[in-house]
Amino acid sequence: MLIAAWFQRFQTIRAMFATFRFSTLTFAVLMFATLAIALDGRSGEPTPQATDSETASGATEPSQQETASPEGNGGTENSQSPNSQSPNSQSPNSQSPDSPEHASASDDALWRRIDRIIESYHRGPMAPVVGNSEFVRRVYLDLIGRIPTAEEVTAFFQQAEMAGSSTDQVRAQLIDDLLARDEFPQHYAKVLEIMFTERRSDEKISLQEFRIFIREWLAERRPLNELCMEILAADGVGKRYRPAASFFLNRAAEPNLLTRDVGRIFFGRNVQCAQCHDHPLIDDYHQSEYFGILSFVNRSFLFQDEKRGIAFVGEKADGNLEFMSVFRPEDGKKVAETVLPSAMAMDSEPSFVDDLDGYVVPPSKESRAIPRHSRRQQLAVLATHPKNHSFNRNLANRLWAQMLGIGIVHPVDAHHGGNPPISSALLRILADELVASNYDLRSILKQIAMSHAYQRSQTVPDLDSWAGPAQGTDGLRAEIQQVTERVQQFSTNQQDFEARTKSADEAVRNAQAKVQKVQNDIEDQKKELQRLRDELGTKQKQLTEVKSKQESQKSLLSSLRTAAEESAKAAKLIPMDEELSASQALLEKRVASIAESVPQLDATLTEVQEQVTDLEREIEDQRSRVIALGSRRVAMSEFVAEARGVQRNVQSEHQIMLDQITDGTRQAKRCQELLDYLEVRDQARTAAAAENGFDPAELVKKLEIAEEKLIASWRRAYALGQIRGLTPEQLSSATFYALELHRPAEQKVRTEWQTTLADKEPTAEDLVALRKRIGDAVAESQWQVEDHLAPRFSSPGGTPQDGFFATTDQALTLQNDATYQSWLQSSEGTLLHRLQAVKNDDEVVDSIYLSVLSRSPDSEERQQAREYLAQWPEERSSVLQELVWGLLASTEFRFVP
Amino acid sequence: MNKKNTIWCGSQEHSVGRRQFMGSVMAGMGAAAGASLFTHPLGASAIAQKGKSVVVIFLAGGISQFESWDPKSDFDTGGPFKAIPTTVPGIHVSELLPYTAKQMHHMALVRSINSGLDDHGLAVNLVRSGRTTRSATEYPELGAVVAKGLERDGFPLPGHIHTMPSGIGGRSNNASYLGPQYSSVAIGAQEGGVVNSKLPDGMTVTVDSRRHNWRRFANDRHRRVKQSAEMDAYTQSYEKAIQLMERRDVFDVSREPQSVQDGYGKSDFAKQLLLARRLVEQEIPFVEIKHEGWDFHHNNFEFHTHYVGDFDRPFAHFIADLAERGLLERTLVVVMTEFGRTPKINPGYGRDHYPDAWSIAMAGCGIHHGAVYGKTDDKGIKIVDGQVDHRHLFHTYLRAVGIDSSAEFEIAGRSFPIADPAVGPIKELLT
Repeated sequence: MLIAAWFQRFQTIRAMFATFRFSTLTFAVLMFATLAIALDGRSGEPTPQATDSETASGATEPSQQETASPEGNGGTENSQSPNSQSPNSQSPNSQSPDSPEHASASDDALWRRIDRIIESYHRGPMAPVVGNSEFVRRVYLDLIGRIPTAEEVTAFFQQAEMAGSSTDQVRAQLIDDLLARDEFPQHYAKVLEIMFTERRSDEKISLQEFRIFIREWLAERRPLNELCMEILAADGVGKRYRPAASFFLNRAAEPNLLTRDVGRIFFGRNVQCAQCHDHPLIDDYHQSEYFGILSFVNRSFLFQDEKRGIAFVGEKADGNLEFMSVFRPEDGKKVAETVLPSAMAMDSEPSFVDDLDGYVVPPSKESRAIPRHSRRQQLAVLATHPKNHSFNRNLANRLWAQMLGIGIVHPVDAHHGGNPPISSALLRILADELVASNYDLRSILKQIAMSHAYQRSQTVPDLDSWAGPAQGTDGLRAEIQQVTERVQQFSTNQQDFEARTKSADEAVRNAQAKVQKVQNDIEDQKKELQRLRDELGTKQKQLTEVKSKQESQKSLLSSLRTAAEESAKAAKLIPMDEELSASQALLEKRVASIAESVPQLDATLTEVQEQVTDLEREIEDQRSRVIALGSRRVAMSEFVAEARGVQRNVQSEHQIMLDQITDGTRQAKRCQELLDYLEVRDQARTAAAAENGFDPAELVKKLEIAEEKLIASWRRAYALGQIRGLTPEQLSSATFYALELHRPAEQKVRTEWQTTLADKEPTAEDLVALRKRIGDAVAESQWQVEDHLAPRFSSPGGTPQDGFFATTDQALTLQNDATYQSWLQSSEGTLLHRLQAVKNDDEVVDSIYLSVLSRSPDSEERQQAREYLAQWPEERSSVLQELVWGLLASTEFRFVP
Repeated sequence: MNKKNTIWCGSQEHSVGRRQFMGSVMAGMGAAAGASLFTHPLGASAIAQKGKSVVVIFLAGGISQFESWDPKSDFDTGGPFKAIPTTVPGIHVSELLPYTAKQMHHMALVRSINSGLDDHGLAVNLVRSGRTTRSATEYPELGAVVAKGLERDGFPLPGHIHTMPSGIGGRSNNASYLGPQYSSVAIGAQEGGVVNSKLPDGMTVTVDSRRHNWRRFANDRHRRVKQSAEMDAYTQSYEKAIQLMERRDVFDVSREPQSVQDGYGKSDFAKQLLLARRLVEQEIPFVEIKHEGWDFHHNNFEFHTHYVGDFDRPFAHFIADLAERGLLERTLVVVMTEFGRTPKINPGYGRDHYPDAWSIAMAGCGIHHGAVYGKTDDKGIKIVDGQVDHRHLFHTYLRAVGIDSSAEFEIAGRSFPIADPAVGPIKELLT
């Protein structure tokens, strides 16, 4: 009874993994039979899990597979796929049986190295690559953001069949084709725009402007790091480059927000918590890192140009930061260094004698301040330089996460020691490839798309029939031992690195101290300069006073003289007037006395004049002394830069060792997880065989948990495909193309074009122009759908956009929203319109499946759909809509295959 | 001590209460800190209280504590209004709250909040998140935490609702790491309820149900090969939407009997309170009503007369209605604001921002009724007893509805303390 109860529970839970026929057998016998099958690798008839069926059709209706049909090819493809190992493969380390033409030349292709790394650490059955029908949908979604049309699916299958070449070759061709299309830059412009903007309000630079800017950049195949540089450097000036300022302007140039987002988006490091103190939980996020980034952006500010009515980024020429830990105020204030992660620093900053010397355009209400030396330009260069490992690793990780659904480091903005990559080796080769390819987006995406890691099936392998790792449990234990020893060895090197790091840090500090000494001297000399200027001010004032006194004396003298002369004339005319002569005498006396003081004043004037001239010279000298010291400081700073280079090298060597420790530690953990699982499974098997004396419910639960844990860990490590929802944009475009809403737009352009062309034979140029016009018209029409649908499926602005969530309002939209429903109405050229004309139900159902789900229906699906159509013949057009709607609202549509 | 400001009447019953409530702040905080050492994930068993709700009435801008919960009518700082007695002997409130005074036996006051920040935006972050943070998105708001903490499997309605006078807003960005499914959904207190909750024009229930059956068939087929929590959540969202549609009347206040609508009153605020009551009846975990404009740097007294007047009667009616329907036993009502107003009356007869000593009011479940926690000095300038801040309040709200605020949320393998682990709730207020 106990066995029976357990078995029933077991059976229910395992329904999806195993199929039993138990009419003629007793429960106990059945249990043994099941286990026996499991243990001998299930050599009997193929079951769904043994072939990793890719679709429901493949699983249950092998007879439906026809070579030309999508899922038929998908089925056969599985078995041909170079990496498809049967679930009971005994050899996790075995190389894929590559076909000869691939073995040599492209052996070092990045995608093969990616796969080799994953094969080297994974100790279980590797999920096979998906069949062609899933692949074509997946790769269309990831590279051009939409699902393939029915024709495109069919064309791909024909190509795959006709070429007769290997899967890899056919897939490589498709990837190349997609990457060469205009739709690629259009789609990736959205991806990158959302990465940079995170759906913040776009009040200063519209999202569309920014997308067009990125699209053109990508269309011209310009390097990604230079795009990032442009984005960090842009100030909003110049028509062509203005949209790049979106990153700064749409964040209102707020320094703390920019620090957070420059850290997160360009380096994958969310240092926000280190604003007020070293991060309480994360060892390697220091307050100095926060202030390092902040000191590059805190001089920038939002400048509203009233005349033009738009905003720009202005920048001040001064402003150094000091910070203090709120936890350790006793440590006092520290001056922030302008340094970015990976020891990318600006160590030779020119200094200016006077504040205004620092400006090309000084700050004012009317004009945007432009400094001679811009810290933001420095940021743009240092942040995106190939030597900036943090930048490279972050960008590689984000691009990988975009394609695979989860980052090698996850969350993508949490690169730190406590959250190491799932495989450092993997992250390293991707980052290196970015640099080696000169940050060519297409080439890295092609490599990722070619990898089996990307192409892997999401279907869980059958663990029951898996015999366990080739090396056996003893082998696993030995591996743990070995790996642990290696990690310990590395850890002993740790001390050496600590010493080297310390001495490199010391060298930087010493060089900085010398610079600081000059800087102190500069400050002193500037003070002296100021003192001289103050003195000059005093002297000039004195000079003015003397001058004005001299002038007033002179003018007094001249009027007295005139008076004396006039008085003498009068005295001659009236000789005997005593009073008159007395007054004349007085006048002459005054004239004499004043005339006497004039030379004295002249002398004083000359003297002060000379003093002023002296001071002016001295100030000039002092100024040039300060300038000279400034140059000396810059020269001195070169040695800081040199020490910084050493520091950077030590850091990057250290990183190599840390990476090895990380990967080793992970490997030991992986093996241990597997051992734990195997132990639980053995217990369950032994217990089941023993028939009694165990608690079945508890064991089953334990086994289920162990299994789930193992599967989750394998999925996380890319041995199984990730289950990921479509992004809001992918969902919108998929809806648009599934309903064939692109056709009316395309038709319209074609008709217009033919009218204008009249009977003329179109030239090659005409055809290019036509292609562009169609592309633009379709994109515009597609935007209507995206603009309506995407916001409902998006995370709020300013937060990471890579999570999946399902809410009631989304479901309500798809069910009842009038606009959404209007897309399902038949109109010239759309899917629904096309379906109306088809009389054969089988054909209708096939069409719907191909257009909406990129595959053919299996017989059960076809049967159900036919019954639906047959049941309400008088409501045919409504039923057609309902059939299409049901698939649009299905999980299969909502998730990447 | 001025007689009018005596909180406790001195009876036996209240002196016990007083000892209980006026316990040293240090002791309270020490106990809380001790508890936080034993943090543990919030498991299913920890979410004990099903069907509880929190209603927050947010008086945005900063209501004056002098003209509401902490009158000082005998002093120059107190302004022109008198303090009036309430249904709880010894507790006085401003004479601007005559109706609310009659509900005091359902309520509790905290008169000793010092939250430190006097900028509207930043202060709102503090009181909403219960954390000392400068960022609005770093921590989830109370509503998101409550929606998650009181979440029940298969509950068809959204758990975090912000009401608005009319219309429909989108999802807000206030759930932080809890994820957008806990962000607030804005719903208008108008006729018709939730947007898109009605079948498309011309579609019959029969057609709707058969299209869903076909959708379910497609999902079942897919589920045979692929399963994941995300896929299940997606499938579930449709079922929840269907259930919400079946209950769309819940959001439609015009379904209330006319007499009930009249009882609440005709103002936008009153209508939203009525909507909130309907939502509480449906056991929706969190509802917030915003009452805006409380920022009276000029003519504080004139404006408070109007604003408190607009608030008082519908609010009192709401509390009475909840009590009468037995809903108050499982609903916590919080009258929140971002800071208080200055004791000093400025030359324009206004009061400016004052985070140093201010008050909030609560009503309903999980708290001692007729209680006052904390005390300011005679002039209302400083706190003299029981100083707390936004973090203690946050713990207190959660505990009142049975959420263990010392626990942690486990999100995607990472642990997040539900409330600031450095402090604990105001234990003296909790039942």
